[in-house]
Amino acid sequence: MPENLLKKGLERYFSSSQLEKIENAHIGIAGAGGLGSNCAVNLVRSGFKRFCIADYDLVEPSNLNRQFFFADQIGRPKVEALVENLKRINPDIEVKMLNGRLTAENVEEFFGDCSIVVEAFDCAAAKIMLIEKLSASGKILIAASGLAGWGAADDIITRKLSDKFFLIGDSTSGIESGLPPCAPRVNVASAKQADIVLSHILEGK
Amino acid sequence: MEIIFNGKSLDIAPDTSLATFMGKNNLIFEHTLIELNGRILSKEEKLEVQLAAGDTLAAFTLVSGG
Repeated sequence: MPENLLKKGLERYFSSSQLEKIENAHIGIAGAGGLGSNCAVNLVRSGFKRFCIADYDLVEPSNLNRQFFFADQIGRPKVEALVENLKRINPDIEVKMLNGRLTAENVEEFFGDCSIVVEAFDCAAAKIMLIEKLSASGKILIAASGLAGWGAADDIITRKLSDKFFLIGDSTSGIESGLPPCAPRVNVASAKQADIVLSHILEGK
Repeated sequence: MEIIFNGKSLDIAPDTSLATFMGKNNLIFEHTLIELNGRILSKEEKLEVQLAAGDTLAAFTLVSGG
């Protein structure tokens, strides 16, 4: 089996017990668009290996401004294209994939093994569905709302609404108000989501 | 009766349902999380809950984009 070069590099920054915690965590990512694809990159680079990732969409040209896909992946299912890209960083990741819609009927089962779920949907109603379905599950939920447009990136804050529920964003900058989703603010929000995952796994907070 | 809504005291009619309260306050049902006495409600609970005096209610309306 070839040497895992990401792991070799991570050993410079993390202790073996820290790496063990990270590698054993099961992380759910609901949506593989701007938030989900970039959050996943941050998590894979941090050493996370076990994921459940769902998205029903195909890669489109309008995704390339902010999502972790490449021009030659247009038309491909996002989940498959994302896993392919993540495996270039760590070929040993294990991903349960759903190339289909997460609904109130299947979301609990799909994320059954995950201790933490990142809400990375585009649509507000889907965000609400996921949070309402999983809020009593005991899982850590990390959602995002208010990240469209540009500027005032420091307004994208983390609110800890309970021990197990975090909400990231400025609460108001939605695409409904005509603001486009742009790479910098989307990346700020998705990186904050990933940082909460890492912090929780390493320190329980 | 009096409840706490988003951190402020508010006087509302007795026997107000959450659904009625949300409608009167322009809280879009499908886009708004409701936390009642420290717990996020499910969709079904949002439809069924009757508010009671002393309840602490918080509403978080989410916006799209990701």
